Amino acid sequence: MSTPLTEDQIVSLLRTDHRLAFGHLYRGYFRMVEYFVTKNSGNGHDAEDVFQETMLAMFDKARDEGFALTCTIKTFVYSVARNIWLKKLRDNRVKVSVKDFENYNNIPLEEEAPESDKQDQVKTAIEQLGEGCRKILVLFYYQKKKMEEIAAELGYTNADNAKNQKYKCLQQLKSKLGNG
Amino acid sequence: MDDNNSILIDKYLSNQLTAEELLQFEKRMQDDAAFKAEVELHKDVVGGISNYGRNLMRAEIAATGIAAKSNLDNYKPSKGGGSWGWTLLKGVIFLAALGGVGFPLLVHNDKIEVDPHIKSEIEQMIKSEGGFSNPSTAPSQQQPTIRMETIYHTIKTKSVKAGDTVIITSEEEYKEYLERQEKETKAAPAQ
Repeated sequence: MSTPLTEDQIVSLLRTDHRLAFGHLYRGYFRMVEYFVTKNSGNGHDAEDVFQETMLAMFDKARDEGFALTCTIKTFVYSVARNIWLKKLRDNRVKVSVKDFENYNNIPLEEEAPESDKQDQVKTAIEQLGEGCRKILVLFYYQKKKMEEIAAELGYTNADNAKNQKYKCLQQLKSKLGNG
Repeated sequence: MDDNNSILIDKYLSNQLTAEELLQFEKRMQDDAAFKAEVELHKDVVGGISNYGRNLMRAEIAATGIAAKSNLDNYKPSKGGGSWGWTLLKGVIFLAALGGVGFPLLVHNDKIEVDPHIKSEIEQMIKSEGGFSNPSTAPSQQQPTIRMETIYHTIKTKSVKAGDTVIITSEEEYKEYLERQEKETKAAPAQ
């Protein structure tokens, strides 16, 4: 049994140690999301998908430095999961009268860029990079970590070295895309 | 392309340029086709890295989920489905003092005027999961802490009379409460 984390701790944990944060969130709120989804035309598998997408959306939001919780984590998780599941139902043209079990806020979802041909090429090129390059690019461009954090995480002696490495990796990636 | 360009384009893509820098940047894109192509390529690459990173993160989350499976907290809804929600105020609110949270007595029914101060405290409690979260996670959470468990306990074990506190937050509880009231009324004939 671990003690429940405070709201702020969860948000900062999402930034510093997301695996630990996901563990806490799963333990604390998976059942809640499962309950919501299964009471609203979904099954257990849907619930897992929704929960995973919820964690991802929370991670994406927590990366932004300006992000601050304006409600409890529970409300936040419920609201995001609710949005994701209702969107999925809408996309599949399923009509439900929504049953709610918690308070929720309107928390807009970020639209994920659709995967274009170009992005497919980028993906193939990324997979051809060495692991070190993939890591540094993902940490910087997706996880939006600061160079100091990246240097610490990947064992560079300082932020400048990490920055140079990132630049080299980016160039490598671009050159793999040929003449663009 | 040099590192400075790369940094500049990163700033542009993450909206970190000042208004003046942005104007310059856009002008340069108009005037310089090679620069424009650089920006486009950079944008595709960064977008691709983001998608790639996001998919890795999905895999990590899925793995965490599998690991956490055996150790999930139970869940009890804070409120019943559908229409209930804020009908709390239209429904039944009996308040006085519970667990050290002091409220003046309020008697039920649709028309009652709820003291705005109390209303906001109730709203606060309902919004704060410390108020009505499931018993297994509640103890250390925020105040004011009135746990669902305590409320259930109060409904089940005590007669509700002036001075007792019962806050009904779900349809189920409301029904349970009404049934209990009915029994009590039968047991104690009206005068």
